[in-house]
Amino acid sequence: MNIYEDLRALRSRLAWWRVAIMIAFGVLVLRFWQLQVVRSPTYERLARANHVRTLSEAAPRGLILDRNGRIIAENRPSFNLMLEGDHPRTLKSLRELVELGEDAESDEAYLEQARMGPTIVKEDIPLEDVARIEARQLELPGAHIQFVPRRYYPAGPVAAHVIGHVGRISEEQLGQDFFSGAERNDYVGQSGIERVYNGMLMGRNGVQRVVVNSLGRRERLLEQVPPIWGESVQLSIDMELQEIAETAFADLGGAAVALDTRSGEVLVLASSPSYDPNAFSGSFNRGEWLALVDDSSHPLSNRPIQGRYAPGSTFKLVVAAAALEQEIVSPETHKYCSGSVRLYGNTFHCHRGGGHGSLNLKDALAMSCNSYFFQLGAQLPIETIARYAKQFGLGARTGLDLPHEVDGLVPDPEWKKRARNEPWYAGETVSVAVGQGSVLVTATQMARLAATVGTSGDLYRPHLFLRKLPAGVMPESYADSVISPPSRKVGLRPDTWRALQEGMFRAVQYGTAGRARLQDVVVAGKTGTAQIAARGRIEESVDARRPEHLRNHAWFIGYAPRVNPEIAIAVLVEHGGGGGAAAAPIARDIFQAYFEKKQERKLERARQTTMAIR
Amino acid sequence: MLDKRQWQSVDWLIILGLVVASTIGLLIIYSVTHAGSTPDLYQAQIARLLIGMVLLLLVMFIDYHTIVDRAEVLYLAVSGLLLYLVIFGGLRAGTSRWLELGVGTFQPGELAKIAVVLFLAKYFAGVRGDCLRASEVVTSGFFAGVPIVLIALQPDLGTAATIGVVFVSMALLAGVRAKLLLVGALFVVLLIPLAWAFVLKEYQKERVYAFLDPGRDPRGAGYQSIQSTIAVGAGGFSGKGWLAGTQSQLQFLPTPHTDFVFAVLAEEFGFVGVAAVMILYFVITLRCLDTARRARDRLGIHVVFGVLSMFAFQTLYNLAMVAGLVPIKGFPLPLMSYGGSSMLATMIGFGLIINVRLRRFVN
Repeated sequence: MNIYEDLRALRSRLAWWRVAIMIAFGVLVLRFWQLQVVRSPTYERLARANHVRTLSEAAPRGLILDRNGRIIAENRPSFNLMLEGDHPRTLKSLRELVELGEDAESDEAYLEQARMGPTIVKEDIPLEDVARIEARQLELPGAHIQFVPRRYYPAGPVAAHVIGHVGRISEEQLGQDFFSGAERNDYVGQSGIERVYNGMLMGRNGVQRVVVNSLGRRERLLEQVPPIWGESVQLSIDMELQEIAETAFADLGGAAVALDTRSGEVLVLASSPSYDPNAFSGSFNRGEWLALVDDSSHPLSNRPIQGRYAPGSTFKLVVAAAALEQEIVSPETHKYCSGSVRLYGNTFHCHRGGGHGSLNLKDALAMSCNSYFFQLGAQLPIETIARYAKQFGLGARTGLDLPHEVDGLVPDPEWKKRARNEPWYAGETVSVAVGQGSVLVTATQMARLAATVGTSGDLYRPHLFLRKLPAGVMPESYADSVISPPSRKVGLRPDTWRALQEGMFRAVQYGTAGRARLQDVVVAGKTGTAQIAARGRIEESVDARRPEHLRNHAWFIGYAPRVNPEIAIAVLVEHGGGGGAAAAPIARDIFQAYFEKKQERKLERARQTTMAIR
Repeated sequence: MLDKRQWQSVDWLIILGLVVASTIGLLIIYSVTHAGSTPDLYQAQIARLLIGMVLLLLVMFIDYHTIVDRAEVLYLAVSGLLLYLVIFGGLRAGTSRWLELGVGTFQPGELAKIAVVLFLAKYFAGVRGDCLRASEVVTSGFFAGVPIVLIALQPDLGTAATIGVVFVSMALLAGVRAKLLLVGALFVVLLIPLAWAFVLKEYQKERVYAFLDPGRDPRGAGYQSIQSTIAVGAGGFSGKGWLAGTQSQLQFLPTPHTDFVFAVLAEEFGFVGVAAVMILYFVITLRCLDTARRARDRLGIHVVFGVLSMFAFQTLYNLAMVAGLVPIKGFPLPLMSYGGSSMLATMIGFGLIINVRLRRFVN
């Protein structure tokens, strides 16, 4: 090549290129400075959001135990199928592997959520599905199985209304103080004890911070705070008695309440028909839910505290108390029953067509003579009856520790003016005197009434809660009630109490409540028949021939033993007809089981003592 | 072969630069592959580096005039190979850019870059006067255009674009009159919409859209750009440490051992590492420019500048891509990215540059 070439033009252009390259490198250095120094915190955060996942580990709820330490609510292991990240192919494969069920959402809905974080595709999947998915882990990026404790009620429908059930926390509940500490997707108590003592039962969720790769697979654990179990709650319920009560109802609707007369502890709180609360803690689908809600027998309604019924003749105890205290009659005052009474231009019929003849107040209670009480109704002002009814706690919530208890109703002229804008008619007082008219009570109120009569005035606030137990502590039997002072005292004269008690004793001995009689223990009780189709005539004889849904409700309330009572019971059988026939036998079953258990315990203790002496 | 004076003139500085850059590349390749399914990948890269160094020395020993004398033969051979590939090439990774050899595969496109540089250098060195005439621009453009079109048909638009850039820079160095430049620029501007409508495939357009607005489809085409920027930014000033970058180790970063090797460096070694490596590349580039300035003849200047434009363009584009400044395109980072053909072409190129430098003195 020519060694004399003029290279000046090329060299000057090279100088320009040199400048251009310097500028290019300069711009790039500035750009990296901007990304790595100025904006670094932002990208650091984005990088962390990429690979660090904070996962919540559900805390097992505390146990619920009955008074004997029997487990009513526990937790079983369960597995949720989760999806995280944008993995439409995985979702498609999952649909082929697992039946997602009728509540499954569209692919788009799942993916939209999964892009934001871990999303439940299906709850509580069976173990075969778990195994199938685990085996295909590598083909299913983004999918994983989450272990969660799930509420389980070993007794199924027994005491379902007491325990209540759990359910996924709602958006609304997330903001409420009552549920503070609960997180999205958590299961919280939605009814019953589960709800009332949710704060104790709930526990605290654990936290896991894990590193994931771009496929969502967990690489390592950064930090782990283990979940804390909830505290256990021991209830006063006796599941054996509860089961006996529920079984006794067979397919009848109704309520049974048994209280410890010395403490107000609730031994039985049965509502029939029942339902299986386990359905709520699993993946409950809309169909099952609607079936329960629409069921015409209302299995979800908690009848002992929510069912409002006319007390029928059981109310005569209140009227008798009022009449005795007002000295309108004495326990020995005789009145004549011819089968009907004519008052205020109307004829009021006794349930015994032929009449009871002449009888005193105690026998009028025993025989449940309407004529006697019609006449008392004509002598007592309604305000007085209402006052005594309220003293016994009727027409107001008992304060039992379950949600949604109702008041019932003790009518008086003021109420009638307010509710119906009508004056009170004297004839209505006559109806109220036999527990008809507008009086409405709950079975819980009536059980407490029986307890109050039996104990000559002790009125307790019924309660289910006995004590809480720290997580992991094994429960012990709580067989003997703690004797505590009553919430309040109903102050009647001893004579009055004796008359009422005698009337109830006789009712079981030779009156209407004979079917509640026990061999070894003396029971006192009172039956009642609550009219549904009130027509001014109590047509007990006709009742059995009516279609079932028009038949009268049957009541029994009572306590035992007659002296120093321990247990008071109220049973209501919907459309059961006469109280003596339908309700008293159920109460009898409960009484009998209670005293048999007591006897067994006594024998057991004796045996242990003998062993110790040897 | 070389006399004593020439041995002293061998540019050991630039060779050191190449070795250091390649070694850093090896560290990064090891970092992102050691825990994966191909933990031995770095060993293959070492082998290529050694072969590359041998080629570099071979190319260095033969006087570049002797090599350029055979530029037409090389050009025709490479063009024939490219044509063969377009017609009969087997498909590999959706393209026909790979040539199956007995011992492995090779991308003739990489060889084409060298061939075109030598061919154009020879052509421009023969031009009389300070500027190219229009006919000369068209002629050289045609010779550059043939391999560009053949490579674009593979389709390997990255390599095609690189050769295009090499042609434009070499022509500009050879001198293009302002009027002609304007016509050329106008021609290109008119060509872009045509290319957009008829040449570019959907996925390629997607990449451009994604670059203009990465948030448009963060899981799709914009994903790589976003993840790369995050990796760079998360590295911060001093980096997360070797083997400790989360974006790269947890596979959020795409192709971390090839096109995005620099993003891994940025994450694990931070701005300190970035600045050091950029200074290294900058020094290498300036050293090449210096070699061009000192070359003893036009041919030498054109050869050095041709190789340099190829090297600088690929480097700058790759860094700008990692920094999220330009659309994602499959450019490896010379010296550091994993890849045999690119490494060999780069080493041959530097062999030519050193070759010109040690023969800068007129005998």
